[in-house]
Amino acid sequence: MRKLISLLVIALCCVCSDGAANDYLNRCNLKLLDVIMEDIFSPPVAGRIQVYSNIAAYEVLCLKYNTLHSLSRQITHLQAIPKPTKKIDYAVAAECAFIGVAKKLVYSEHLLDSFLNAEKRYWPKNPALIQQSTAYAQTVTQYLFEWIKKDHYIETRTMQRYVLNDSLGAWKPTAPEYNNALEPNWPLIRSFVAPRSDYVKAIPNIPYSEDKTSLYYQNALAVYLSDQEKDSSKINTALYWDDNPNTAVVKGHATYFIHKVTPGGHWMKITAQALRKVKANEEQSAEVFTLVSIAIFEGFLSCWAEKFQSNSVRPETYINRLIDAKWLPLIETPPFPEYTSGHSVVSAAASSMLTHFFPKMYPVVDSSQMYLGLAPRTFKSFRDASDQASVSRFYGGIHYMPSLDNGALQGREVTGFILDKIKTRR
Amino acid sequence: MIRFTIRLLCLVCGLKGFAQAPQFTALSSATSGIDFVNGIAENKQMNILGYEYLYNGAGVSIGDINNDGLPDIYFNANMTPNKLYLNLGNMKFKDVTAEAGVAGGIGFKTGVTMADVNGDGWLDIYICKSASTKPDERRNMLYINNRNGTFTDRAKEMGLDDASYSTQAYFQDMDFDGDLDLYLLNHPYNFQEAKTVFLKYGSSGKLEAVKETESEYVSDRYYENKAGHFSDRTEAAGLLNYGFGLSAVIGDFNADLYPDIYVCNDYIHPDKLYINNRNGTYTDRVDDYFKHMSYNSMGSDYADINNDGFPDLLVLDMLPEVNQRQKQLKVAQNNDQFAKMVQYGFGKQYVKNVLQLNHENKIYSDISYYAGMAFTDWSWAPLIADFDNDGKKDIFITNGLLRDISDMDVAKYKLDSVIKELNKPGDQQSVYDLFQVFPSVKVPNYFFKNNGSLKFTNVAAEAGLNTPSWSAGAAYGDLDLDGDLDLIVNNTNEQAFVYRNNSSDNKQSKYIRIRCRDAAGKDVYGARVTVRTLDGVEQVQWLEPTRGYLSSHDPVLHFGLGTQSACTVKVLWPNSNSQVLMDQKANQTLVLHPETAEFQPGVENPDNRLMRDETASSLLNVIYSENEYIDYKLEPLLPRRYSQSGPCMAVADVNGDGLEDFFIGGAAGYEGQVYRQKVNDRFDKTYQPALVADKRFEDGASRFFDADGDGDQDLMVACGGNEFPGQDKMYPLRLYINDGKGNFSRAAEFPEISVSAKALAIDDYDQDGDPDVFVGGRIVPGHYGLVPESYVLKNAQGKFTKEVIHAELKEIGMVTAAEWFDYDGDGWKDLLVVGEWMPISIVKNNRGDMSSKPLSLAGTHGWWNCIKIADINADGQKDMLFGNYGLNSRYQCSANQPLKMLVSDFDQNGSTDCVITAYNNGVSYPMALRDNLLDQMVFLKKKFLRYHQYANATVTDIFTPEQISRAREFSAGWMQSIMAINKGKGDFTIKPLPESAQLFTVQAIDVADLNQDGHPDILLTGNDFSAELETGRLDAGNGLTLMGKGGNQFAEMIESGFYTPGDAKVLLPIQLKTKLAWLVGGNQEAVRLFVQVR
Repeated sequence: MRKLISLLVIALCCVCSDGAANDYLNRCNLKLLDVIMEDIFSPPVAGRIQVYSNIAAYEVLCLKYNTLHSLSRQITHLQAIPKPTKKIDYAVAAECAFIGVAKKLVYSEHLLDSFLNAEKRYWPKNPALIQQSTAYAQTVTQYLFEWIKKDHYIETRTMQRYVLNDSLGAWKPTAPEYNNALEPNWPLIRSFVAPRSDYVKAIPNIPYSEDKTSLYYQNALAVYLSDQEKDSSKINTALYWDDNPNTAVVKGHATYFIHKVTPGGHWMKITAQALRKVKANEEQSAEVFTLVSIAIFEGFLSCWAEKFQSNSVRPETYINRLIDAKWLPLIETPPFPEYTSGHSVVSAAASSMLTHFFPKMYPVVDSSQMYLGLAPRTFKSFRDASDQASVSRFYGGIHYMPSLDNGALQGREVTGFILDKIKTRR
Repeated sequence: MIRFTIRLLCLVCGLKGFAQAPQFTALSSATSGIDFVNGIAENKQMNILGYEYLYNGAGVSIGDINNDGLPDIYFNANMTPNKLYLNLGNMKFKDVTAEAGVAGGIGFKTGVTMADVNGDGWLDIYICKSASTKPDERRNMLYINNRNGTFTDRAKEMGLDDASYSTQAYFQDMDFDGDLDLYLLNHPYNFQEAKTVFLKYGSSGKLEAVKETESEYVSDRYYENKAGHFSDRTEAAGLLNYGFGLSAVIGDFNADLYPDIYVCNDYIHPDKLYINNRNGTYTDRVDDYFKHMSYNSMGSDYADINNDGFPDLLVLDMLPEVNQRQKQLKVAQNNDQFAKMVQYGFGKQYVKNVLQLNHENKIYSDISYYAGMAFTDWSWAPLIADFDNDGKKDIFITNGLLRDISDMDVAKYKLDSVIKELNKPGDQQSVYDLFQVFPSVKVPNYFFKNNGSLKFTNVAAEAGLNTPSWSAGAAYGDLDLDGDLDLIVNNTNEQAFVYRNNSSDNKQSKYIRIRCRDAAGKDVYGARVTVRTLDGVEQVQWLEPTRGYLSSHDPVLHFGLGTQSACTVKVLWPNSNSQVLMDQKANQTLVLHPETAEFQPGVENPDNRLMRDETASSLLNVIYSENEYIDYKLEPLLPRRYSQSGPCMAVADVNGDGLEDFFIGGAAGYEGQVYRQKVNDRFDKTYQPALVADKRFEDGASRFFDADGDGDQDLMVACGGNEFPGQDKMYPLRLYINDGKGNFSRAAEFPEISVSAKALAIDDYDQDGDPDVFVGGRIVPGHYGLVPESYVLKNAQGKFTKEVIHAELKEIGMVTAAEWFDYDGDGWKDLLVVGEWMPISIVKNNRGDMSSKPLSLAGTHGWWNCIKIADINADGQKDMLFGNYGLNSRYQCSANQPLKMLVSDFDQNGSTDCVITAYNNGVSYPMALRDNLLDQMVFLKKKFLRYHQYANATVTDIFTPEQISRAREFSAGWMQSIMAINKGKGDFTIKPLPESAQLFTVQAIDVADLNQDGHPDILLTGNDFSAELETGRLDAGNGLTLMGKGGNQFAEMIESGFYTPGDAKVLLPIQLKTKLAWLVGGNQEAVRLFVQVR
């Protein structure tokens, strides 16, 4: 097995070597995902960091390419960024604006500083030009940050944390950490494309029931029975798409945590691979990264609005109560309500956005999970990958089936909504 | 001119000067001949991630195995051969393991017990084993003494080759049949479930916690000795259980002379107290005897620390004392999970040591904070014994774990990166690197000298016991027969400590040693020995040599006598026969034999109670229910839940029938209620539509008074609590007018005042004939740290207007109590105000003018709760009593080292941030753990990327000078409850109340001459169950009766009949038809009625 992976690494290294200077958006995004993983941001918060960073680069490049259409006056509250007053290198400015905004949003700023330092080798050897470009990037960063600050993020940090609801169907904390529900106030975060976060409504959830003949019970039983199959291909699929940024491993007093990229981060990596595969230029990279990150951000927003509206209990809680008292799912249940599945929504949103840009791309190869020792996977299409990501939550034992199907519908609708609202090409 | 002087007693207890040489001398292996090391070899198979108990250390036992009078030593080693050292005298020892044949065999050895298991007068050795997945490698061994220096393992033939995952064996005669039975402490192996709570539907149809049914190799075992063969009676005795047992206590917990069993369980599994039903069965009643327990219970001991004749329980946990290690190693507690644990029967468990004071068979009280031993790092063996022969038992505590496996940076960040490195193909790293990332830090053991008065001081350094180490099992015994207890400590990866005690070099401190043996030479376990000296001090010990952690001790009972040269010895044998030996000389070893004792009937204590709980007979059935509001969900840095400060109560005759009635306020959603006194001392609830209509409000304070001058008692109610942030409408001050028959209606005309209050003080301060009102603001809901407004309302013929008061009175602080009191005797009532983070304050009444600036009493900034004005010394002048937070909490402070609180909206997001700091080792650090602080102030996440960066941070490292200058600062340096004795003309002498009043948060006080001896007596009640989880609820209060002895002296009376173990907030006298009584109201509990007996 090890050998196989090693061979694949060699094969892959050719694809994902640092490459040319114009690959910087790819490098920026991958670095940012590393930092997000290091800082253990939850999936919706990670999505927010990704999207603002990409928008910063995009808006700078809109001044370089008159074929690109600025997002200002298209997305909520964003007005045109200030224009440069001196001659600049747009690529350097875009990269610096990306990192500048990212630094505002992550904790481990020093990791981005050293990244940017290393990036200088790709920049033109013209100190005055570089100085003017970075100064301009700083102006853009400040300008955008004023806009970013008004998205209610900071206010939601100290709003009422999640308060448990006694009703049986309501979400309950789950093993092993029994953490409070993450981001119950996320639906108050500003959407780019709508006045409220619940602009795409999921199909209503099945009503809670403990009756053995009820659909609810049958859905739970299906999760349990699927887990009992111990099917290795399903297990591997669940592990492949686990994407839990903070998995706890409990060994008595020694509890430690494994960091992984978030579901949204996983799709940013798939996007990066697709862009490299087509040898995308700067313009297209900025466009696709930005739109995919908007899809992911909006997907989480829409999903979280539904999650804390329907406030549904997780399979492990239900199965412990009624089916198997000491059952635990294959992968750790993340700490927030069940309906709809975040991975399903976000994967569908991202994959349909990617399909929009690359309708003919197949197969899709994803080697992004090698940092966890997992072999690359090949998919027929983006849709195929997102379908697998979605169903992996059922295999993993953390979602009921309707949450996946309805979540995927929700995600695709979100992307449709975005594409209706936002134009990227003149 | 104000003369408000205070004379504080100096409370700093000076330690008796130590002699030049330390109390203990560590002997080198060359000197002692003891070179034992418990070496732990970490490898791929055996490492901390594979087996969590790998670093738990091993035990040591002391006992005279060859009956030469010299105690010998046996060490367990986890992974290497055990060792037996023969005592050659003068602290010289010889390794005789090979000759004796006692190397311990295969497997991972844990606890060791020396006991005369076959009752032949020769000590045998029982060895526990764990860890291995193969049962045969876990079979415990019983080395039977062949009386010739050799031993033979007879565990199998005697029925004791148990293959459980064993921790330690406790031998005791549980059924009084004259032989030793065995309680074998075991543990499960599934460490993944250390904190899991599974819920399922039980047979009752309700959700309940899943009961573990697995018992093989896992449950503790009870073996009954029948003629030398042991049979497993675990199930029949009701002792099948599931818990990670790390130690147990065999002792008498309910003073019925029968041995009970306390089991200390690690992790989420609660401790158990198996009370001996005296019929061969046991029932877990831990919640009936203890109000809370330690979460990760480890080692334990049970002995009388205050010489009141009742043994006290010490159970150790793992939290370090040092700020840096606390912040680095402690996981922040989870409120929801705690609530779930309580709801589903896991008890109230906190990550701290507990020192459970046995209060003469009332429910035990944890006084570990008061005693100064709540945190002693990752602690294993506590040994309670008189190590300095002063007649007071001291406490030695071993601690240390080979690796800091709860290091938060490793857990959250570092291990992840190492594991990712492992995932990289072709990498040379191994699993070994995984556990290498855990820091390995030696820590010094603790040695607490008993100062008396329930206070202890860690003198490990002065005593020569503070060498940093990883120490686990430890045992004591007088190894050199010089009359003091020497110490042996089993260390991990280091030579055992051999500590010679030098106390007996001081000829002024005497001792007596007592051995309880029958004619055959067998030690009689369960014998209860009392030693009484001429100074009236009585000490008690009970013979159970297995205590502490994984270890057993020399079965000779050692009593220090201080300077006393003789004593009376009384022994009570398990068969209830007893004997008394008068005038025994000090400095000798007595051997007592049960054969010479006779049955002597016990003396019944006369019932001297002054009060009786007559709640039931008065048909009083009033329960103060609380609405569910979790303050921490909005304000994670609060020291307690301000939404749980009710009830408020008031007493008056509301219907003019000459009988006193009472009001009790309601929590939000529960109406306030008026109860009317009927004949026969009974109470009836009255129907009050006006109160029902206002039930949405949380009531914070209430008083009856004649507001409109019509001769009846009207009712004022202030809102309180914390549950409606930003909703001013939910906090109106309300006046209810009495129609003369006890029916209340809301006054139509009343100033609009919105405040969350706890204090109402009512009196006619301007002497115009109408009672006026002071309302003290308690908090600004949702914005703890902001100061609410306080008001003076002037009453003119029933019309109230806000009086202009000094700006400093308007914002005097977070007021908890106020009284009108003419403290300087000028004929005008002044306003006395106290509060949280407030000094005792007085606003002088200048002939009806209240606009003067408040005066405060220097040095009294505290967390005050209540005021009582009464003449406590019968000198005709009214004195003052002030109830404070007390000294039994994590919030420790002094005048020089005050608690501080910085309040500001540091991140300018509209929420109020409060950061409380306390001194730790001379430096003031924030009390909040990193996770909690960063949860409140997200911008700090950039500053404190890792735990170690925050671990040493002070306020100036956290905030900029500018941020600090913008913040409001509070401080508190005085937490004791006090009395202020009136010397006349505004001159008061302040004295702290006795120590028993400092063990709990005093919420209410009353004064009455209970025994009619002319000396007023004091009743105090209180507690605070709402304290945040890092501290744990403050529940040591059981109600306190202080009997006046004259001369401002007061003494605790334990059996007074006044017993309020709950979360009491109110204590009000109420005159029944024929006798005086008191109402006690507590949060989420029934109102109780105590009636004076005489």
